[in-house]
Amino acid sequence: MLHPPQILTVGAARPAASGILSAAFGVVVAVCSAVAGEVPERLDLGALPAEMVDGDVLVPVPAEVLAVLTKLGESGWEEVLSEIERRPRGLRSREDHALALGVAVADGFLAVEANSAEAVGSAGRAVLARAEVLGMRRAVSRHCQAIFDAAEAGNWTGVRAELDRIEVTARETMREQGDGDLAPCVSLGGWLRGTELAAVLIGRSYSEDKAELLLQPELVRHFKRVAATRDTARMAAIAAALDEIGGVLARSPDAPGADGVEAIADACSRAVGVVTGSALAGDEDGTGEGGA
Amino acid sequence: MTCALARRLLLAVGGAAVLLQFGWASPEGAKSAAAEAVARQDGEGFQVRADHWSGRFEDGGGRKMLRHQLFRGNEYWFWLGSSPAGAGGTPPPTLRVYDATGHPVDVEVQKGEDWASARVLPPKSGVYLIVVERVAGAEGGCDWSLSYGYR
Repeated sequence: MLHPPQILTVGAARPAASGILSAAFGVVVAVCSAVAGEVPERLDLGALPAEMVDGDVLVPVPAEVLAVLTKLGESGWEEVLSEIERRPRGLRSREDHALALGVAVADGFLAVEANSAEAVGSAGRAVLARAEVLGMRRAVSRHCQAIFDAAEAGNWTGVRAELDRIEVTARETMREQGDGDLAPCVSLGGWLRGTELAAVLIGRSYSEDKAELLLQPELVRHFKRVAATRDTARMAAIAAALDEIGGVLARSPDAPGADGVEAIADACSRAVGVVTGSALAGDEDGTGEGGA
Repeated sequence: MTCALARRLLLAVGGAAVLLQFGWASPEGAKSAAAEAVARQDGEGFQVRADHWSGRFEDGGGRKMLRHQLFRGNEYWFWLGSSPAGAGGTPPPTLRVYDATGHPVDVEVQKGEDWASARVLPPKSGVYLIVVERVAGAEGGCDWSLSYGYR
């Protein structure tokens, strides 16, 4: 039997610095603190006898960043979509396909923001093509069918949920197949594409509020560790791009400036281009022809 | 009845008594408790992640900390389930969220017999510390499962 929940409202963080979102948050915090009448208890990190939970890092999905951009008035989804609808080329190894699978999932999240059932369908078919090569078509196809159905019905929440489940299913299937070391490549591909999309969009209408979304130095470090475990030319190129991104973020503790955002977009585009041969920037060929 | 059989029966009865006293911990039970906590906010527009964290407290309680990237502009809920529920009178694990300097950022915390939840409005995009804590002196093992959603 479930008991009624005990609701405890506590004060939260320090006053925010600037920006519309910070001000709104500050108001909420002040109200909550006043209602609770409690003094926030700070955690002494130096004396923290806590055990860090190791294991899988939960990588945020691109939708978490894209959702904030939408709230901040971003509207260039269709334009970006039209620039990335190209078939990947030069995929050879299972690593290539795992990375490209993550890229296709990220493209699906962008298609959701654009409310484009057609683009969601394209991303879903790309996911199936990668899954076929990786020997997991059966495991992934039920998610893709659910994606197609949800997109047709305009159920974008459902599409996002199934895109998220694809990554989890792909990783679990890889582990069952004895390919567990490939599993992080799916997240890596998705993060690179998601960050590329965000950085390009932010660069086209820069603001500090938007640029702050790119502050993800720990994820950069995480993926550098992932790249370091694989001795391939593609991973070396991706690691170099991650180094550049890390450097920009290290110089920008609050939010990257316009130049920094452009540098992040370029680095991500080069990395995505290494994965799929199709990217928003740096794709000198631009034909996108070819295939797995 | 032989001595060996009697000994096995005694062990089985004793083991059952221990389990009844302290509850039967299970990762599936913890995940189910977290799912029920999620269901309490069903329909409120949160996109719940398919992935989750999980772990276990052994005898004596303790504190587990996770680091996770959050984005300013989103609203987050974290849902913690634990199993067994309130074994031996021990309260279930608690859940709090802090920024990287140790300041609490959760604006609302709820808890029940085998679950806890925390609502966060990140003041800045970056890494936050999620702390799952079991009271010192807690007896028996306890599995936990942590999910989150955003909107």
